[in-house]
Amino acid sequence: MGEPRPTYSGPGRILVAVYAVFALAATARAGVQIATRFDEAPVAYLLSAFAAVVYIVATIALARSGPAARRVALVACSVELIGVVVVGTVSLVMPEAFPDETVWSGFGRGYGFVPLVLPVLGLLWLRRSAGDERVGHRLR
Amino acid sequence: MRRSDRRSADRERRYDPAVVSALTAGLMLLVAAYGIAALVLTAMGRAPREYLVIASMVLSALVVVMVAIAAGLLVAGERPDELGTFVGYLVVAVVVLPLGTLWALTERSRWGTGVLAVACFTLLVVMVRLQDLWSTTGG
Repeated sequence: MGEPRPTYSGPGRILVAVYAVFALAATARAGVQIATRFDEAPVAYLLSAFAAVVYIVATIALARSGPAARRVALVACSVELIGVVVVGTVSLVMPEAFPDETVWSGFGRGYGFVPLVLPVLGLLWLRRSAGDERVGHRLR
Repeated sequence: MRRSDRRSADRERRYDPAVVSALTAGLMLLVAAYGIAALVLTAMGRAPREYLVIASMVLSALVVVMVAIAAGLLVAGERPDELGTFVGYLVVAVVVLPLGTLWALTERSRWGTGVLAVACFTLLVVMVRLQDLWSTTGG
């Protein structure tokens, strides 16, 4: 334990890189879906767009330092974990609800299940890199 | 497809598809080799060294050549599936390794080397997707 370290340092470098890839992939996918065939599955495509926003916010928050960025990253990673679990479950139980794939369908099956692992690693890293931040706040 | 159809289709093309896919496959092997090397060096705890950065720049240049060939074929009238997606992947293919390398260089530890591996495997996935979309071109 010790001083909080920036979330983008050390292993966080890789985390930010992977998040950036998913931000790009999800944004591109949602963009193409909405631009070319929005009428076919509006719910799935809006969800794709939502996932894209979550990835973008998480990437930026993790790539910045400071308590505010850390809080935003915490919320983004939590929303992402809830999203992938809920959408993953619903897409398996009621496949008809998702006529087309999203990043989170089948727990991120189309992306090697990285979308399921990523928020867990993100939350673990946020906790790990926080150090004695809470204690530090109290002392200050 | 019947043999005679295939011949006439080949004659209309101004390039040999076999050569293009062989070049792409070769480049994919190089990228995979680099990614594996970066992964091993990460496991060994090595920070990114000069030779890794130079190799990444060489690979990036080769990717630019590949993308230029693909762009040239597009201009010449070849149409892969989902043209918009294909062009998007081409753009990502060009930028992913240079951006990954910049991000890696700001962390002079094993994790910087790990970022190079991530960039490489992303590039590999993009190249596989490009191949998929391209393989259905021309019929």
